[in-house]
Amino acid sequence: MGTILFYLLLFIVVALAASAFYLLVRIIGIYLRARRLETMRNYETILYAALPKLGPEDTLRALLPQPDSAALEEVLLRMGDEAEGEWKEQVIQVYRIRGYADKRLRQLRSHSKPRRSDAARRLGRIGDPEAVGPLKDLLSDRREEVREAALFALGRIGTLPALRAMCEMLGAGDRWAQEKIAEAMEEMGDECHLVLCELLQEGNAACRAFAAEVAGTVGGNEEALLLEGALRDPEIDVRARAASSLGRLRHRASRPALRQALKDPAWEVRCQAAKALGLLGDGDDALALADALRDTSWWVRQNAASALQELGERGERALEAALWDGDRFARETAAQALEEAGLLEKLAMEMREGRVDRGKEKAVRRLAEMGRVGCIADFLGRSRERAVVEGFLSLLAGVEHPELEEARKRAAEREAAAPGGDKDGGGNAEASAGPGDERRERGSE
Amino acid sequence: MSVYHLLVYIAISYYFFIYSIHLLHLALGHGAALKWKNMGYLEEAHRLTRSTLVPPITLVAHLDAVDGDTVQWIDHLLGQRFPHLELILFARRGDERLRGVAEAYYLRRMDRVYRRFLPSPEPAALYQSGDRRLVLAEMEGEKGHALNLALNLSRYPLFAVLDRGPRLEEDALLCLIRPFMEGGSETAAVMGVEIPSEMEENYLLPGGRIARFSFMESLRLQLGYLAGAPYLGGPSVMSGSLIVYRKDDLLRAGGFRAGLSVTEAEMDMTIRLHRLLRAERRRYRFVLLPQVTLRRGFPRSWREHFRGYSRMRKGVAEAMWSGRDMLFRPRYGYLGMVQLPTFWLFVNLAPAIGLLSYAVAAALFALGKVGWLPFAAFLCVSSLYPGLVGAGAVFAARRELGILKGQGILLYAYAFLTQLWFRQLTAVAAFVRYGL
Repeated sequence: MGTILFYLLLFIVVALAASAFYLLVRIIGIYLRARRLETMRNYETILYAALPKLGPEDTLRALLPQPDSAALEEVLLRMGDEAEGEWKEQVIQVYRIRGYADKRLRQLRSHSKPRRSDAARRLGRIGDPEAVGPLKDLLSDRREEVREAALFALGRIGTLPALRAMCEMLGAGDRWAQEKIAEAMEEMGDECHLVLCELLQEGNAACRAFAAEVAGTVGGNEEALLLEGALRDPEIDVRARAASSLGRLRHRASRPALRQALKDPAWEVRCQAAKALGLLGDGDDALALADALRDTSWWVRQNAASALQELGERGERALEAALWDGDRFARETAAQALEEAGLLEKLAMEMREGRVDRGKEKAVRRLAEMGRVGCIADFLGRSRERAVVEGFLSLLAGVEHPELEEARKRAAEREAAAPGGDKDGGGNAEASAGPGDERRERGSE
Repeated sequence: MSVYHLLVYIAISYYFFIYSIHLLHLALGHGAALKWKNMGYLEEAHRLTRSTLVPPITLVAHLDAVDGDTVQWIDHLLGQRFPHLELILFARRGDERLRGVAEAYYLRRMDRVYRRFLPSPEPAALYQSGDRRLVLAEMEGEKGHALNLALNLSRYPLFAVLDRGPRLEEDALLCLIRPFMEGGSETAAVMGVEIPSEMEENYLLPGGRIARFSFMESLRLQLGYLAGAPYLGGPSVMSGSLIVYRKDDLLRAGGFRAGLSVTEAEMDMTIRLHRLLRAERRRYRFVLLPQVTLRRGFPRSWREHFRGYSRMRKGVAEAMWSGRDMLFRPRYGYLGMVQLPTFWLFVNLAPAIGLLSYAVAAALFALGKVGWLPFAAFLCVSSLYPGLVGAGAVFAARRELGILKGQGILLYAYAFLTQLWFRQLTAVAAFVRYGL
């Protein structure tokens, strides 16, 4: 018993001693951190005030002769994060004079992975263009973290040589590397166009595909012409991305090339070409897109239908015409696109305004005949306007479907319940298109 | 050495082995966390918002999994900063909330044309917003089928399954898709760290004792197993409130198994993805991002806790059973030779073996067949050693996730106590109640 008590007491004493030691270490840590922050604040004040007036060398000689090395480097890195132009040059100068740049460049060759990675990130933050060469070597490092750090650093340096170095990563097809390069290109602005054009004519297909994709964001007219050329590339990926980019660039002169791409043997290309034509939004392309509704690929049909929606009146007419197409898939896709485009709501508005659009009326009836009555029944259930409901029901007279029967029955019940009817037969569009007031009722039925 | 001593030493070895493996996973997970941190995950995620290279994502959830205001929750998801996303929601036929959602987002009923990659029941009705970002399917079938229908309906290459109505942290989706963009090995699935929604402040424990214990246990599972398991060919099973998959992989794996809850379906899918990707000889990885990505409700009562635990155990049992053909098969590498056998022995059968160990050790000690030293050693290795693993998970959470920094001693005490009695009690209760 005595032994147990002894060990118990020993355990308590050791635990207390360990806690006290832990607390002491924490207190010292907090104190040191506070002191370092204070020092860094002082350095920051000195650098911001003196650097523009005295220049890097005199500032260091006169005001910071023997600084706390780690604190000064951290301050410079933070300044490097935000600095631009001439101010950035001066910060880089200070970084070099203090010997931090040389030290970090040496560390890039270190055997320790964290040290290489950390050195690369620091050089990137300061943005020293002289580090591009050694950082480029690091892009082929066997450790992922180091490669990632080098990529980050080159992106932050953001000069043309840095961008060219980054582009060497494109061959691996790493999407994240592509993302970083695209970001660097975007930040670089017009200067990157040269690299982009070079990449579009590169021998490596992955590079061409990347350039074709990024050109849609950062490119201009010059790239558009190259992208048209890329639509004839032997690689499917390049052609598809080129088509997509032409749409995003809104380059209207590329429409003939895109229409041609609608006949490409690869569905990926046809699908992107259809989408691009939709983004360009020219009604003259309606016919070509309507043909694409008969495509064998689901994605091409979907994109063609969405593109036709984008074309406005002419696109809608083409969709309506496709409801009588001999191809079942074309009919189904067109019907969905018309439902999405709000065919029923538009027709209801015209009914309210007393206008007659035979095309839309025929299209609605055709939808019902095709058995696509879910949307119609839902609309009739939601509509509060007797005139509109009656208009639709008369339009759909003779079409047999359980959901339509239900809608007819409900309309009749409503009329019986309110013999005065809807005095405001031409009520506003919101009232008619408002969300399902009677959906719950139908659900319970 | 008598047979009684041998029995106790076997029990001691069992616990020592199981928690040493845990400790190994924790160390590997800690290493993984450091790696992600060095790669500047947090800093760079928000830059992806405007990118055209980010793969679009489909989020899928069932309205039954949402607590509280549904519309607000949908707003929260649709408001995520992400270049292109769509949300597919399922609701039971007759669910009152369906009407509210349809009204709030001006959803229109559609006779939608979609590709049927997998067998799935027809929805009773499909509603869709004008911009196609929100689809609401009224269903009569089971949830497992609902996931397969979502796979048919989804238009995007990434497929994220949401469960238990999570609230995502800022840029969580952007962080989660980054592993899919990285080169090297292919990413099969990604999830992040989940913390309780009751944790108003990140540095304090959630309110309620059960929630606290449950959170500690969850941290151990996430940081002590899921984060490190991919380095040893795992994890054997993976489930969470938000997991992102590649749609293509899911389709080739044959979709989700019908008739299972989301947790069970996800666990089963982990095994199926392992099998598929191994068969195709692809280099792949499952990723637990050591970063807080979402908050969700944690159990607040024993009842809720046991219900969640039994659901998890059922999922594990189902997944283990469906992957039994992979056991001790060298073609599945670490997974077949180490992960799955370990999981069978130390997770799937753990409640039964644990209960038996305690009963035998206590009985032998009470009958005087073994001395106090072996019994104390048994208690140490079965309770204090796990406590150490739990405390290690909290240490990792504080250091790498930057959470729970405000309640040092109390926090470690909870982590320790969770392994001391909470876990054991849960296992015993599950064994008694469900016979698992």
